[in-house]
Amino acid sequence: MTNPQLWLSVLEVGCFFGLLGLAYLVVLQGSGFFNLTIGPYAMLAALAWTGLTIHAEMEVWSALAVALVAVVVVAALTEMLVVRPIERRSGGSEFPALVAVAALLFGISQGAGLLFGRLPLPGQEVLTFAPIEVAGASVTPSFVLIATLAVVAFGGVALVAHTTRAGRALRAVGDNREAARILGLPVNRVRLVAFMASGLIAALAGIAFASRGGISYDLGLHWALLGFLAVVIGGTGSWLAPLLGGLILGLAEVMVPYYIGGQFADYAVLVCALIFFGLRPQGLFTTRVRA
Amino acid sequence: MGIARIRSSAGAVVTVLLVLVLAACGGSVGSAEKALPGPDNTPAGEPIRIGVDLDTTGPAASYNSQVRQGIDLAIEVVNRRGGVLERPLELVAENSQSDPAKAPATYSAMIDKGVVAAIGYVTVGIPPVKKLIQDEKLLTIAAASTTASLVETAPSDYLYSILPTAEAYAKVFCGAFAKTGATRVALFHDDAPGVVLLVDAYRELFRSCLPDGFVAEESAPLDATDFTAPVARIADADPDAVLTVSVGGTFQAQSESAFAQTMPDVPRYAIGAFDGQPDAWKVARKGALDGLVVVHPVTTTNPRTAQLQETFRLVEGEDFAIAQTHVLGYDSVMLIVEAITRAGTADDPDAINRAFQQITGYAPHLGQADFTLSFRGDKHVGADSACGLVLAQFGPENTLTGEWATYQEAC
Repeated sequence: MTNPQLWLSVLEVGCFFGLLGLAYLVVLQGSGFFNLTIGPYAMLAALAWTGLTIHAEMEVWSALAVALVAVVVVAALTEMLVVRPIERRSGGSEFPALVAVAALLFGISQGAGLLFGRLPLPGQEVLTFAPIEVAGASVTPSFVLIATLAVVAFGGVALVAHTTRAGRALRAVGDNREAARILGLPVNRVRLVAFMASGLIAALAGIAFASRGGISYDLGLHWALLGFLAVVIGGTGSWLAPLLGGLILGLAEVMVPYYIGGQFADYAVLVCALIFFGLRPQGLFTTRVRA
Repeated sequence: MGIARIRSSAGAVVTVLLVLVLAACGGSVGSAEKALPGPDNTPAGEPIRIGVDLDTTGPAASYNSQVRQGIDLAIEVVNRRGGVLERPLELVAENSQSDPAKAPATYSAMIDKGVVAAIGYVTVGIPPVKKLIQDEKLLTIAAASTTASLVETAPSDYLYSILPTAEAYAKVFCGAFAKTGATRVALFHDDAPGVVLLVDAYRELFRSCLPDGFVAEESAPLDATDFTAPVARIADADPDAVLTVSVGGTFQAQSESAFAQTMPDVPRYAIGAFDGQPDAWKVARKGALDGLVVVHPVTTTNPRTAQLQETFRLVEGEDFAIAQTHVLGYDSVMLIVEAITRAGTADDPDAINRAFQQITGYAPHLGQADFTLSFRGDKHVGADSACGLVLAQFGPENTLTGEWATYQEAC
């Protein structure tokens, strides 16, 4: 436990899981829907940026802009063309839309593989400097990027949600869609913005994490599950809850392999999931309701 | 939001997506396939079909696509020179996605489509179909297999492999360890089913030079997001060398980066497909692969390998770098063609099999120059020696710099 490099890894990996969880939470709070395609959004952004830069020889920052816009567009299309029509046709039931989105999860992954190839690609480096030795650990550019992004994203979302009219509308629609509609809030627009905002958060998370160890088309499902677990563990009662959930997952992913063995990494995540599903399904932070 | 506005917005976003697709596909403009030079004598008529099980969408997709390139080139070469028995060769490609449960359906599909021989590149898909191959008398080459028992344990009358076996790998690396004085070797591997099987064999095989076994053994899932923990555990064991067994890809790129950061002065060796994955090399941190010694059976000091690389470059472009996976696909087709030609028929599976068992001293396009393949009724592993394995080393630019000067297994 005294190896500082291990703790840096916990922070780095935990922040990434937390960012994916935040993307889930934003769309959940703003639309009441669990959008399982968060993982593929993150993958698609990273793969598109590096794919456009390497294969299409696009200027690197233009490629980044195209990748981010593309993912936000895909997120918007998910709401407009998949979730909303299916929920309407199924009388407001979420299950058919969830099934459709699960299928979309695979579609986005395979589509990314078709577009950008099935070989792994290196992530694009946003920050470039030699690792800095601090107290026996190497602080890498990817760690600085992911940690900074986590601070900005979590802080930014909390600030917007609590201090702006848009944030209040987001929370109102997520709490009770029909009541919000009766009150005259633009429910459909708020839902759409929630999807797009979550897509942007996921995209930035994927791009930051890919700079650490590359990207390939088949990472979307894995990231979708990890982000989902971050929300399950952290709960939905606070905008910071996914970060705590992500850090707990990161702790399991790094410390369990160190003390028990690398082959138990997946089991550690599974045990975390089972513990929280079984004993605390609402997560660590729950929404307080006034009596 | 009204229907009209939704459609208008959807139209705008679809336009943006099309831009993305066109930009992504733009990289392929100007890289149109070139043709092989010389006359095209591809015959008309009923094709002779050969099948292949390739994982092009699952966990092994990254390097299985290279095998397909080798197969396609071989078929084009054969057809352009007149085909086999004056009939064109045709490929039937199936995909078991590296899932043994899907292998029976995969091979049944190939058989239903009339293949006369098959290349079973997905090694984990072979055990579930051995009886089917035996019953259907389907000549099958387990092109990626390094396990002798797979092709020597019944039923296996029609099943063959090409590569030196795990015993040869252990012999070569034991020679390397002896040459460098390494006695405390740590083992690291991924959890791919084929790798786990290999590692089970290596634990015993390496006892010939490591009597007490590996000083540490760690593994991580193929989709691991972090390698700090297993690398730290290996570092705690204070090895004087690290051997990684992996399918390669981002797993190995990331793990080598972690090893380079944590244990920069410890020599590293690797067994797997990483040597043939230049795209994965770029995923590793700058300089992380420097000094890594890998088995790279394709070396241009072998004139046949050099010639095949030039042929590939006519089709794939000047930047093409040949890998073992390309050659395994190519040589598998050529061996099947040799057998059918010797048999004089494509309709008698036993005749084709007997002809295959008469192939002696075939000079493949991998390994050292004197490496050969031979098959008999009691020899289903083609490799005649361990010099099919060539050790190569990475340099500071994360690229292979050539044969490892310190040690090579003699033919």
